[in-house]
Amino acid sequence: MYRRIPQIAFNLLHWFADSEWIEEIEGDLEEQYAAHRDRWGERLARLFIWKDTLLFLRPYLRRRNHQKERVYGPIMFKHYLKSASRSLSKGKLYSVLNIAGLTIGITCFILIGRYIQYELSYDHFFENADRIHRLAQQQPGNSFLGSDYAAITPAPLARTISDEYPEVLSSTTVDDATDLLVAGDRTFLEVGLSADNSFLDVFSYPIQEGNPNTMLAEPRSIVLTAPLAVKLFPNMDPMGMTVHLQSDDDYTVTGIIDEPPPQSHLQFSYITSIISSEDYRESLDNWDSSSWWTYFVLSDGHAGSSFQAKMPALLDKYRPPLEDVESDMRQRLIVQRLVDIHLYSNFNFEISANGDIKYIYLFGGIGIIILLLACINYTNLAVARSVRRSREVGLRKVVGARRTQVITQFMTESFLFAAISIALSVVFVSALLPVFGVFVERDLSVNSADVLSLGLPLLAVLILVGVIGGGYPSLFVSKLKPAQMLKGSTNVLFSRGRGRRTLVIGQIAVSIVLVVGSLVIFRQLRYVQNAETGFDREHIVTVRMQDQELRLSPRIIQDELLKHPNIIRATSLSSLPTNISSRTSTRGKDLSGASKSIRIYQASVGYDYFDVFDMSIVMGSKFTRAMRADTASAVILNEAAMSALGWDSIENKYVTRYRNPDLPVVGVVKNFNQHSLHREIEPLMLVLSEAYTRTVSVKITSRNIPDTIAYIEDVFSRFSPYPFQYEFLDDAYDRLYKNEIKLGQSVLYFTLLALFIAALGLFGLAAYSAEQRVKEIGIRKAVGASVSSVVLLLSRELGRIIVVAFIVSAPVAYILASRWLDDFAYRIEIGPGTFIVTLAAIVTVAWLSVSYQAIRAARANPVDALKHE
Amino acid sequence: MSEVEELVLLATAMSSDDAYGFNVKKSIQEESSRSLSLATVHAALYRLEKKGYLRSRLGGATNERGGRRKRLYTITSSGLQALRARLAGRTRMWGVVQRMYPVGGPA
Repeated sequence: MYRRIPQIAFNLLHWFADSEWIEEIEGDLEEQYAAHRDRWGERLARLFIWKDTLLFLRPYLRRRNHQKERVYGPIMFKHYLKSASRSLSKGKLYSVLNIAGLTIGITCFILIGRYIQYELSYDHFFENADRIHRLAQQQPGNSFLGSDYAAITPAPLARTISDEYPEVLSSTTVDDATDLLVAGDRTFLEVGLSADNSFLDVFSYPIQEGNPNTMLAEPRSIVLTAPLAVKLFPNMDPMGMTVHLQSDDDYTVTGIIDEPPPQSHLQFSYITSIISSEDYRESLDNWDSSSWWTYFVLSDGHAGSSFQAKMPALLDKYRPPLEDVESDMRQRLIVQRLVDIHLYSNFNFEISANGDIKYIYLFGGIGIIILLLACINYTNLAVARSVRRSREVGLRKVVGARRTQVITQFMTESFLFAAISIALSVVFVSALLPVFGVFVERDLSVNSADVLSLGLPLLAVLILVGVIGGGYPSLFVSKLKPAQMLKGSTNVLFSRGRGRRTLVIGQIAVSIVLVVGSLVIFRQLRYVQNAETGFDREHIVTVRMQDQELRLSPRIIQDELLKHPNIIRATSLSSLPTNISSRTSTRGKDLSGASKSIRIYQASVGYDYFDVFDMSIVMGSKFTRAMRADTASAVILNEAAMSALGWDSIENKYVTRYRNPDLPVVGVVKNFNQHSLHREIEPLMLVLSEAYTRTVSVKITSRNIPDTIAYIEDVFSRFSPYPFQYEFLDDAYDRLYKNEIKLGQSVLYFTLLALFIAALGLFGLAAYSAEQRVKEIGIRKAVGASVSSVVLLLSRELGRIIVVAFIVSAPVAYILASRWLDDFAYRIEIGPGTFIVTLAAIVTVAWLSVSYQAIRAARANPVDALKHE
Repeated sequence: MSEVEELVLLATAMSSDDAYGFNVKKSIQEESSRSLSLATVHAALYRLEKKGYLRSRLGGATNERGGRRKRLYTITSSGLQALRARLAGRTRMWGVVQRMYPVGGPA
């Protein structure tokens, strides 16, 4: 028994040494092994032979043909290019399918890549971006809209950390503001900030005019961004000019800075000195109230995480917890990196709506999957096609092509395909980028500087596609023995189709997951849109009262509005029933003096609130004109609040908030969804109190809506200098599901693309498999097979593939979709229907892509197929 | 020519009709009780052939080798010459030493 030498050792030698040497060395090793074995026994001999083999790894045994190849390199490369372009133009259908699939895949990939690149670039433009941090907090138990994290902090925090910790180089307190800015006869509604004098120490916005050290030091100072300065003061020097803030006072322009770039979570067009705010001045020593954002800069070498560790001590000093509070229920301060805010922070009271890293992963995943699907297509088609080219490869090998040369040739081809597709994709991307940008609500346009930076990723895509797409076919084809290939025994190729089949199964499995995903998202969205939320969403128009005087007497404008025949009812309110975001503690009492305190959402409303929104009162009555509305005078609870308080009647029941007077409970409203369907219905009280209302909602008829809107605008412009903005309640409702709607649309598009790519691939495969079996079909028909039986024969394989793909992917799809649905408190169940529809869709697409080829092959005259035999 | 090469060349010349890697190694081991690794022998053979002292051809597959052929080496005339020159020098030196310490004399 000879072959007991460890095969790995020989493999190593094969890999290392030139084939010229292999035979003699192996022979010698074999004899040596026998000698060792006779002397030392089997086990030691094995060990020694390893040593002997390893000693052979000497440079003179290395392959010798490098020089030769280098000489022929460029010539061969030209030849590869030539034969690649020949094969490209020879198989037109194949080339078109391939390039179409790859182009779609690459286009998606680039678009998504650009989006991700954009999202990741947020707030990186500051010079010291990596050292800027924000403090946020968690108040365990004080949950608001399902989260007890808040981005806002007490007013003295910024100053205190600067004083206490030397590693804090600077810190600033920021507030947000929206106001009507008036300069002469120009008025603009602008989004701004209010900040202390250290703001420009923390944030390195380029300063165009003014002294950065004092710009925001004095009360009534305002810093404008350059575009706003031009808008307010065209052809004038804005410095020292006066800007009137409609809800506030006159401010003096003390500086001009650059506009913040769009990739920033801080968006503003002006900054006022925060010291102007009475609220802020009064809160400067108040640690109990949080309504400001706190940003700070750490010096080099200090990490946010180690700074975070110092925060409990700071809170203990300035806001000692009550004795009986458990340590895990204490308030916590959280240090966030500025550059993480956009994607990782989704707390209550963010300064602006942030992105979400989940979507980055989701889109990134989809982008890669689509690109992979396209690569799989290429691979499959290339392998199938290599059947045809086996003679070519065989001949190449016979005249002396090495395996590496065949691989290089096929790789050249796949790189050529990839390069053509990338070139086409770049054209598509430049056309689609603006559209896609609108869809994701980002300005994704690329300027000339970025174009260069895109070159490198494109090169990466080229290599990725070239290697992934071309790798398998080239390894596969180059491995075959020339004799087999020249003999034309192509069934050798087909019996090894397992790898290819696996790829097709993978492709269909991915498509199934995507189809199930889009179906579930759309069914849930339809459920949400048709859901009985407990109030009417049709034909209700809401207008914000931005003018302060208007807010004080909302009745006047309502009476004016009701004069129009198409305006049926009107009320004023503090927040829409779609999203009631104010929360407080309230104590319920009855006459016996028993009382219970609960956390409860609240909204201030006018008399006709329940009529405008058509809500049903299940107990007691609505608010009546007999009650006072200029101050809080009565409340209506929802059923959830009643059960939370343990009440079953409203007789002699009162609620009280803090030190305010007791309010009688006059009625109970049927539960309605006061938040999105993501959340359960929670206790709610609606307080009759027009003084705190901020918006006016009117119920209109469906007759001539534009005219009605014009009338509302007319009325408002008589009472308020602010620009008129209105919203329909159903739009406000849809806005709650904006992310889901966007997600649904994108998943749908990606699903269609994935299906299309899969269909292209199946079509191509069917074409080749039909061609492959042309003789078989000819014989079958000659001995009496019917067209339908042949079609069935050709489709059977596909059916098997779909079944396997379905078995593999259905559980995955189910789990993913369920996890997505878990975010909703009110949700659909995923029934078998979803999967049946999915299967039907997949079978239809697959059948459509295969049937043309199958039918054509089945209907062909067998004589054509057999006459050459 | 290194000492190992000299040994290998000698051993090759000795078994002129069947000199190949394993055999050369074996005869060196038997004659001089020096244990060289196969790889060392192989490398020495390669270098000697490059210097023109040896000639090689493939042949003589046997069952013990799993049917693989051997590379059989034969010494060339320039190889013999080099060996002769090398050994002549040594023999001369050894003659002097022998005269200084005759067998049976003081040592």
